[in-house]
Formats: sequence, structure tokens, C-alpha cells
Amino acid sequence: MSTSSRPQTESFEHAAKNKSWIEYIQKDLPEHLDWWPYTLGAIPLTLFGLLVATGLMLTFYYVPSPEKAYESVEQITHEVYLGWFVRGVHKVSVDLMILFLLFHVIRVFITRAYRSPGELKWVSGSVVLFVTFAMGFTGYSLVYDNVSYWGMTVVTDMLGNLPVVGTPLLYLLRGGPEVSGSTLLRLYDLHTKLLPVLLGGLVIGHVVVVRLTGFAEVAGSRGFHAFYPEHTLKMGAIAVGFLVLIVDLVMIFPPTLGPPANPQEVASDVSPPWYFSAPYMWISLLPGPVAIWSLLGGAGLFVVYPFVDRVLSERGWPMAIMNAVVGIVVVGAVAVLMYLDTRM
Amino acid sequence: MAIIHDDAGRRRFLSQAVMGFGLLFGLGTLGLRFVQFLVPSQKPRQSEAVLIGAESRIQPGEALSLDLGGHKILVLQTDEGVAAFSRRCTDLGCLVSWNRERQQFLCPCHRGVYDKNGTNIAGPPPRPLDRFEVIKRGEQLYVNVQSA
Amino acid sequence: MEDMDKEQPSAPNGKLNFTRYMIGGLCLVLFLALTGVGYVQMEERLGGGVRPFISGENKKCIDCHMAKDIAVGGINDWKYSRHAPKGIGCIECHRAEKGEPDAYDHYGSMVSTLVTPKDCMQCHDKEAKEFAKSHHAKGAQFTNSLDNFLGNVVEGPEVITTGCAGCHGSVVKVMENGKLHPSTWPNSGIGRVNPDGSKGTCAACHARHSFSIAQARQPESCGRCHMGPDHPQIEAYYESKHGVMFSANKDKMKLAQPSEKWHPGKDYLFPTCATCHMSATTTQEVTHDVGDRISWTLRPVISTRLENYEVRRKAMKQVCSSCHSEQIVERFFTSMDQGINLYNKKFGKPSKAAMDKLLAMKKITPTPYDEEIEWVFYELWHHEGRRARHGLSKMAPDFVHWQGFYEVAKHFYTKFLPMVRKLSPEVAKELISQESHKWVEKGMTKEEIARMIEFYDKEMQGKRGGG
Repeated sequence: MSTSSRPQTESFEHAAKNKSWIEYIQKDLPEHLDWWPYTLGAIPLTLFGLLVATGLMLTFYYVPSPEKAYESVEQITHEVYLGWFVRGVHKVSVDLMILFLLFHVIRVFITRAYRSPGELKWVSGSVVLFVTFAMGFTGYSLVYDNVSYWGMTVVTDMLGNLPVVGTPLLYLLRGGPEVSGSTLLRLYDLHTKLLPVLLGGLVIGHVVVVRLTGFAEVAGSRGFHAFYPEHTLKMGAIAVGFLVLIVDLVMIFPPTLGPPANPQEVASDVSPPWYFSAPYMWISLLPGPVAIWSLLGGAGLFVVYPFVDRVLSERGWPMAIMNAVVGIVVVGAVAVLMYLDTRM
Repeated sequence: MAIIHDDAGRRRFLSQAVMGFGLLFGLGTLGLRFVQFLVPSQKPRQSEAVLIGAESRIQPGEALSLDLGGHKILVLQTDEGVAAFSRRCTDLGCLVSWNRERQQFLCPCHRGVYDKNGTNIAGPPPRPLDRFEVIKRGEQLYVNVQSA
Repeated sequence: MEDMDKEQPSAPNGKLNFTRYMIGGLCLVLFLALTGVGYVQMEERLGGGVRPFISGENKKCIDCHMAKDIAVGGINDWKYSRHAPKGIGCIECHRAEKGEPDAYDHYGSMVSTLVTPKDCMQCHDKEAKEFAKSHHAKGAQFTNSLDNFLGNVVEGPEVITTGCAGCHGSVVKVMENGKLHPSTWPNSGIGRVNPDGSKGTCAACHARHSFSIAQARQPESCGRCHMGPDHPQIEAYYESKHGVMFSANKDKMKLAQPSEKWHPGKDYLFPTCATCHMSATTTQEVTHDVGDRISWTLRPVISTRLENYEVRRKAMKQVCSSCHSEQIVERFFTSMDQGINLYNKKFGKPSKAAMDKLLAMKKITPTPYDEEIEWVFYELWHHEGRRARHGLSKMAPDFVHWQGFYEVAKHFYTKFLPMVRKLSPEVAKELISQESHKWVEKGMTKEEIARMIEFYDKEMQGKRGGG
């Protein structure tokens, strides 16, 4: 890859010295970053910022105790001035963030951008993905409606079935053997303190890793694309575009609440949010241990996939085509599972 | 401000200006909405006249203690008729009590003293006790309070 | 290959400019969208209902009751009352002083289960005073009446507890531990004699714990007691035009308005029981003495005028005048008075005189209800006679005639008269001595029939059907 050139004119020399950190950031930034599939990663980042802001604001009104949780969410949604709006932005942003995160994963997978020396990009990214899912789970549990309660019960139960670490993990998450007020408090702590900090750090780490290990070569991309101002402006435009989209979506689909948690009775229509729909169906269809082990195995394979790719490429497998096929199969399977969830 | 003479510079300035204004309005309004969410309304809520009974319920020299919708009130016969005093001391907000022997309102926090007309006569309070409006309809007394 | 453009800011960069315009434009769209958000927020009604205010003391009561799931319905009901947002809660009404007959210690607070007019009087003393002097407050004082004998002896004492006392009220007895004796409570009878000496209960009409004025104004609140074969007020009301119009326009009645804003003819157009007997008009205040506007008593064997009946009649007429013209009002009261006088004169007075004589002649025993003639007479005035009179007062034609005078006449002539005749022919003769009874024995003379037909001819203007 070509190096950036030093500015020739005298008048820029002075400015260039101060601009060296910008130069450092946009050193070697290839042209293809300007193409839309390669901007997908920036979207979850901006949405994360929005989620942190709205989430922080929600903590001004939310009360994390089983007696008050549902009531406080109801208050926010129906009584607090613009409460429905802030909660709505928070909810819509989660859905969009996870959706575009998945798009980003698919893009990276199809283009095999994790190739050497960038395996760490993928590994750090997969941890980001899992922590994001954890944020989604813990966040929805806080509403303490029926879905929250039974979701909490089922997921912590599943985790409890893991070998060796299962029971301690169950107790850790639940604050005891059963789902209780302690559970809600712990999930609240996870969702508002530990996990956001972890996620923020991981995201920064992921971006730094991407910066440090560089970008995989893409055919046809040879030019240099400046981070500032081109890419930042583009990200800015996309961010504002998403803000408009989100505000519109919130007005069309304002946030709602399901019936309050009823520990005595599982409602038959309890189902998790869409992003957990496929694994949920997977678990429902397969017998317990098989489901859990296959999920765990799949997750593990997902994390180490760059290394699998490397090994298989060396053996001559056409990984580009393989990934396309695997991608289509997995996406298709997920779609089928999600569809089944709506039917059952 | 330097006048921009060249075409490219002007176009750049124009686009930057549009962007700047847009950001100001767009993000500014978003920020405003967020602030509106966080800061509860300061609008005075509607007041309601609460029936407290007949005037004969207020014995001379005695204060009737009431808690109406969170407002702590002492109702008393003053020189100009029945008055409903807010128990919030005008110094720093502690609750005053009625002392029957001294016929005065006393505040325990910094020893503020008010006379039976609510006038501040000793200690740090800067002004007399606030009053709630008392309405008389026939024999019945009502106190105007803001609904909680 | 470098793109040198970035290093020379003065060189035109259409793409950057375009992106900046995009950002600016999108931001303006965002601004518009957020303005829309503010607009949507204004449209939504926040909350709607008022929030209850719970003071520290009351919070203790409510928390414990909710936690133990005891009488939770009453608390939830209270939350919707007008007391709740003003912070008037459990303690304000249920607080009792040590030494009061029904006070007891309840987890550290001295309370009494019963909330009597004396308690309500702390704030609502006008209403309580008016109520105390009304006939409602005397509801339980029928201990020496026939009804008491009927309930206690003829039927059974348990009937008194739930049957009689349910409307009239019991004399509440307090047991040693301060709790209330089950044979005397619960009931919210209107004349209930409370341990603290006060009479009645406001909750008889303003049901606890919402104490809703809208509910109290509904005819059903009164109709709970003012109904039935002996005084079908609510049935007669619903037969009358007033009742029909009320039923058809309930949603326009604005029943929850305060009395200054609930004037007949102006704020609402169709009267309920409360309208005529209690509520405020443009010139009258609310009265909780339900007798204030009643000039007749329709209760006894023979209806009489009450004390100061002219004043009361005037007050009632003023209510009618809120909607009706003077002509209609005058004519109604004339017909009503005439009807009551008819009952008195033709049936009430003669039958009572007959029974008194029979008793004096020892033809019937002094024990009430042990002979059939006593039941017949009782129902004649207590049931059918009252139905007729209440029908008259409410312009309910069916109650005046078929359920009223028809049955009065039928039982008078086919049951009462023969029974009297069997016991004493002279008394029977005197019973039907009036002109209006002559037809029973003598039939009608030819002239009388002719006059009757002429009357009908004129009435029907020659269009009389039949032969």
C-alpha cells in the first residue's frame, strides 16, 4: 500500500505538524471504505452513543425494584413529558443497532476481511457482538413485564445448565437459586454499569485493532480515502439520517408495555425479542443438551473462524465461495427459525 | 471576517454554513427534547379549593394542623380573620410549629420566630410565612392548594 | 497515487460540499421531525386521572394492607376518590381517640372501624348537620312501630339484622375488644345509631371508599331502599318521563360536577332523585335534609301535610320551575294533591276508622298480624295505597292506576269490605257510607248512567267506540 505523501508547499508544513494525529488516523485508509457496505460498522457505533445518552436519561426515572420497575416504566411511557419519546428512541435504536451489526458481520464474513494479519479484528468484534446481545437481554429484563420475567427465568436457567460453571453462574446472575428482586438489581447493574463500560472499551479496542492491523485488500480499491473530512462527514450524514429515521419510527411505532410480570403463570404468547428469536426456536426444537452444546459450539466456531479460514485456505479450499455459501445457509436458517417462531 | 472571493471557497463556506445551521437546529432540538424530558415541568398546576370545615372548627389561639396534598398547613385565627399558613419556614424550609403558650410560630432549625399573624419577628427568616388563600362560602372554609 | 485535493483546501470538492449539504438538510428534516414529536406530546393527554397523595402516616396503613392483601379493594377505590389527591386518607377518617366507645389499637394506631357522620363532620359539617335533622337520620327509630313487630316477631330477629337494618340502620353494639357485634354490623343503613351517638352513615349514599358525588346522584343510590311493593319510588321514577329521559341521556348528565356547576335546566336537563329532593338550583343551595322540599308525608295510613308545608312546597316548585313553565308545575301539583286527597277520603280514612272501631269492639285481637283482616288492611295502606300515592307524586300512571288505586279498590271492595261485614255489619255500613261508595250496593240510577254517557260523549266528541 502506498504511503501518504508529505505536503509540498511551505505554508502547509506548519499546519501539517499539528495535523499529524489526523494523518496518523487516516494513514493508509483505502478508497473502498467509501463504498456503502464498508460503512456499515460505523452505524452501530453512532447508535451505541445514542443508546448511552437515552439510557442515561432513562435512569433518571426508572426504579430497579420488582414492585416499582413496571410502574416506573409505565410512568415513563405514559406520564413523563416526552418519556415515550426517549424510551422509544432507546428501543428503536437497539433494534436498528443489532440489525446493522448483523449486516456488518455478514459483510465482513463475505469479504473475509478477517484475513491475516487481521484475525484479532474478528475476535474482538465477536466479543462485541456477544456483549451487545447481553445488553439487549439485560435491558429488556428491566421492564419487568411478562416477557422480561420469563425471559430472565429461561435464559438464566439455560446458563445454569452449562457444565462446571453453570450453577455458580446461575447463582451469580440470579442472586440466589430463584429469580427475585436481587436478580433484577443485578441485571440492572450489568445493564447500566458493567456492560456499557465493557462494551465501550471493547468497541474502542475493536476500532483500534482495525486501525492497527489495517484493512484487507479489496479488488479495485487503490486510492486513498481521507478519514477527515471525507469519512467523518459521511459518517455524520449517515448518523443524522439515522436520527431522522429513528425519530420517525418512534412516532409511527411508539413504545408499549406488555402485561406485568406474573410469576404464577407463564403466558403462552411469551417470546423473546426478534434478535433472540432464532436461538430460542433452536432450543425449543432440539432436546436440551443438544441445543445448548450446539449453540456453544457454534459460538466458539464463530469466534475462531479466521483461524479456521486460514487453515482451510492453506489446504486450497475456495473460501470466498465457502463463505458465501455458509453465509446464505446460516442467514436462511435464521430466517426460517424466526418465521417458525411467529407461527408457534 | 475575510471576504471570500474565490468560487471554491465560497461554495465550501456555503455548504459549511448550511451544515452548521442544520446541526444547530437539528441537534439543538434533539438536545432540547432531552432536557425537557429530564427537567420536570415548572408550570403551576391547577389549584383546588379543599373543604376544611366550618369556621367554628378553628378555636381562637389554637392552630389546626392540616396536610393537604403534601402541603403542610397551619390554620389560625389572625387579626384579619382566618389564615392558612404554610409551615415552610421562609429561612431555609424547615417545618414551623405553633406554640400555644407563646402564641407564636417557632422554627427549630435556626430558632426563627413568627407572631400569630405570620410576621417574622426574630431569627433568620427574611419575610413572613407564606399563606394559602382561604375562601369562605357561608359557614364553610376552603383552602386553595395546588393539586399534587 | 495520491489524491492531492485534500491538501489544498481551496480546490473545489463537490463531494464534500454535497455531503455537508446533506448533513444540513437532514438536520433540518430532523428538526421538523422533532417539532412533530413536541406536537404529538401536546396532543397526548398525560395521565388523565389525578394521582393520590399518600402521607407518611397513611403510607403505613396502605403498605401493610397491600402487603397482607387485606381490604385492598377499598384502598384502590379510595385512590380514585376526590379525597385522595388532597391527601385525605385512612388516618384522617379512621382515627379515633382512646376512650371513644369503638376505638381500638390497631398495630400502634388508635382507630375505629366505623366512620360516622361525626367523623365526616370535621370537614363536612354543613351536610352532617342537615342530615342529622332529617328524617333519614331517624331511620332506625321504628322500634315501637308495627314494622318492628313484623320483622322481629312475625318473621324473625335475624331479618332485622340484614333486612330491616340494611336500609333503616341498626343500633351498633360494640364488643369488649372494641370490635363490632355481628348482629348489628355491617350495615350502612341510613339511620344507623352509632356508638358515638351520631345517627346515620354518609356511606349509605356516598358509597365508600370512592365517596363519589356522581354515584350518589344516580337514582340507584336512592333506589336501593326507596323501592319495592310498599314504596316503589325508583320504579315509579323510571316509569315517569323524567326517568325515561334520564336513562336516555345519562352521558349528558355531567353527574360529577360540583354543585355550583350542576343546576337543572342549565348544566343538565333531566332530574334524578337528588335534583328535586336535595340538589342545588340557581336559587337554592344543596340540602342534605331530604325532607326540606316535601310537603306531604305519604307514609302513614292517612297522608298528612308536614309542618311548614307551604314553604316546602314552594321550594319544590322552584326546582320544577328550573325547567318547566308555571302552568305545568301548578297543574301537576293540583292533580297530585287531588289524588292524595282522594285516597285519604275514599279509602284511607274510612278503612282506618273501621279498623279502630273493630278493635274497640274487640272484634279483632290487639295482636297485629294474627288475623287475615289485619294483613289485608296493612297492605291496603302500606303497600297498594302507598304505591298509588307515590305514583301520583312522580307522574307514573301505571303506579297510580294498575299497581295503585286499582288494587286498593279491588282489595277494599272484594276483601276488606266482606271481612268487615262478617265481623260487624254496622261498621261495614259506615265503611261505605260515602257517596263515592254507593255504586257497590245500589248500582247506578238511570240518570247517573245517562249523565255518564253524556260525559263520555262530550269527552270523546262523539267518537266513542263500541255500543
